[in-house]
Amino acid sequence: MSFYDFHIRIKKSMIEPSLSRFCAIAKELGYSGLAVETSTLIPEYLCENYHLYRRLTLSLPNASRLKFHAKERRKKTDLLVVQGHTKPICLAAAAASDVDMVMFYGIEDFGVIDSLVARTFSNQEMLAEVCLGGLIQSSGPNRSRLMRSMATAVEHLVRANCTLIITSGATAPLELRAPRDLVALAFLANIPEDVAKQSMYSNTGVLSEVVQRRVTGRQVKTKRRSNQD
Amino acid sequence: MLRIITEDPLPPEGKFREAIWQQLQQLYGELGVSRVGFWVMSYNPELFFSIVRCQHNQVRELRAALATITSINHTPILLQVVGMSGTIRKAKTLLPRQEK
Repeated sequence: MSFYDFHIRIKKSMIEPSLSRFCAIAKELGYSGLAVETSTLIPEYLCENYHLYRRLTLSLPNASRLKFHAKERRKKTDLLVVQGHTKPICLAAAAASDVDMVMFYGIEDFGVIDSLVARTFSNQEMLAEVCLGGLIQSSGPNRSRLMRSMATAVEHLVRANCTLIITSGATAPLELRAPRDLVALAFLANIPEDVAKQSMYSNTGVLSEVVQRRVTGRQVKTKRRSNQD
Repeated sequence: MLRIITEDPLPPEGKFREAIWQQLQQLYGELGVSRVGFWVMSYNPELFFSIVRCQHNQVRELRAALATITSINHTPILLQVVGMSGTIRKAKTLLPRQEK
């Protein structure tokens, strides 16, 4: 079984040393690959024997130009994610074919999810990323509010039979969590154990296959172009 | 059984126990901590491992609390659950095999 964490955030200037440390710890924790929030190219030697994908999160003020921005950035990244911080953005992202996933991170993001958003996600087969980074990084009243907000949102998503992807949203190598520990952490967000296991053990594998196919296709195209030149 | 991943020297056992205790208390309250029945059975800073005990029906609660710990005594730390056992004796036998 292969595990993936599709949400790692690294400072642009620190990408090479930080990423190699991330990879070392991710391997120890049992991950087969990571998706890194970056627009710069990942050094090739790091991608040998390990799946490293580039991920881009669109955080837009409104939904009006979402399709345009998604189409423009689709080719520049392996995984295109939209932050779902308003309801119109969530609904527009669900309808946009260029978007892979809608991310929910903070209290405001989870507050957006209601039965309409959940049903739209389910009908359009849009993946919902539940980032547990907030639970790890916050404490006290903020964390309890976040847990409450997550629990309500997850209830809607699970009832509508949406496909969930659980991520850690790690900003440092030691903020990564093992797949089983993320499943345990999902318990705090009231995510049922079977749903958490499915999202961690099988949904991430399916998404990885899709992204891998895209990456391979792009590499073949680039090789063809260079041969033609 | 926990593996402790860190780039710095490990904190003393007292700080380690206190950090987990505080995290459990923050998440579940004093009543919750008593139900979890948490205790550090063994702490080995040389091998970077520890054995902690909890009630068999509270494993998920303890794992969740361990996953929320990011630092102990200002030292960034990652606690990874590498194994579980019904008895302490069995847990102790698991470790050397894994370390080899």
